[in-house]
Amino acid sequence: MTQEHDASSDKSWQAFLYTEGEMSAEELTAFEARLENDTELCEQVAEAVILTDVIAAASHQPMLAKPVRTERFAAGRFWTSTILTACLMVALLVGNSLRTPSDSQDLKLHGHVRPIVEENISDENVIRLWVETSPTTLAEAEPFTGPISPVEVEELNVPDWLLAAVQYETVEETHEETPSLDREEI
Amino acid sequence: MNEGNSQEFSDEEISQLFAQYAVPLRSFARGVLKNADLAEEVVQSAFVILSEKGHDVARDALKAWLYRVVYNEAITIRRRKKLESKTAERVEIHQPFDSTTQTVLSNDLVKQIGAELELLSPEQQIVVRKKIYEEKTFAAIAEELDLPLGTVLTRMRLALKKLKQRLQREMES
Repeated sequence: MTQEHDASSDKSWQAFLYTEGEMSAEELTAFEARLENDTELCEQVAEAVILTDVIAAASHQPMLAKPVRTERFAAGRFWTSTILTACLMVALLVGNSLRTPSDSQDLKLHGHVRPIVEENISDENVIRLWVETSPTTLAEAEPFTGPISPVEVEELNVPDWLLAAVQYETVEETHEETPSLDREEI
Repeated sequence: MNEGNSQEFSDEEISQLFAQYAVPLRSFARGVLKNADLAEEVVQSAFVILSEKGHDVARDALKAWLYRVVYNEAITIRRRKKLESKTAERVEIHQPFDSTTQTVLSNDLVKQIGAELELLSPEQQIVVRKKIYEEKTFAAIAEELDLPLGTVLTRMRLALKKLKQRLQREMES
């Protein structure tokens, strides 16, 4: 049974080679000599021709865009977009860090870095910002609004560095005003 | 069909036999001649001979007889062509099939074989497509893919085996 199957398989293969013109001159002569008396071999040739036709027709079908390849392509596009997004985020972070003022000018609160725009900041705003983001204030108090009274400032236990910064800015402002007036007068 | 070997075939019997054997005989003739028009001519000739001399044919050997007649007719045509022009022989004989001369195939069959093609390993698919769709020789495929010729032949053979099994199942059903 197995030998018959192998013989049939071999005939089928020989028939395919014959129809595809893949035989040498000697093989061709020997094969055609067999064709005259071997009906099964003739049928194998006929099958090989039909099979070739069907495969050729199937190869023309648009469904040859493999689903597997589509998935691979989709996965590739996903990773490409992910990498591009990551690169964009890194670029933004690097750009942002380059634009961020030095540590001395930063107000680091709870791990967040908030750059202060020097021109627009007032004493009151600095204190309000500190109060709003203070751990105790965030946890216990309601959002801070309105002007801050001196009593409230004392109760809030404002750190020395903050007071020093505010005082420093106030002194700077007065110094800036005086020389400019002097220069104008001169 | 008539009983015995000495009776002629009726027109109806000839028509029935034509319906039964014309397609495989035509395919066989194309395999020998590599030309669909000549193959059709050969099959028509075979059935003319059957109608004229069929009373000599044993009924149980009818299929074998038809194949033999088709083969002999095909070889005769080939020899005639060879005498007419050796150049023409090179063009028409042992050339890959022209897609325009293909057998009329059902869409379902083509779809089923197409689906079976997709189930083949990518390595087998490449070889099958290069051989049958791009009509390259095995030697050219082996060179192109940088593979031993034996590997290419093995892949093609395994792929054909699967495709042929599917084809036979579909044709039976």
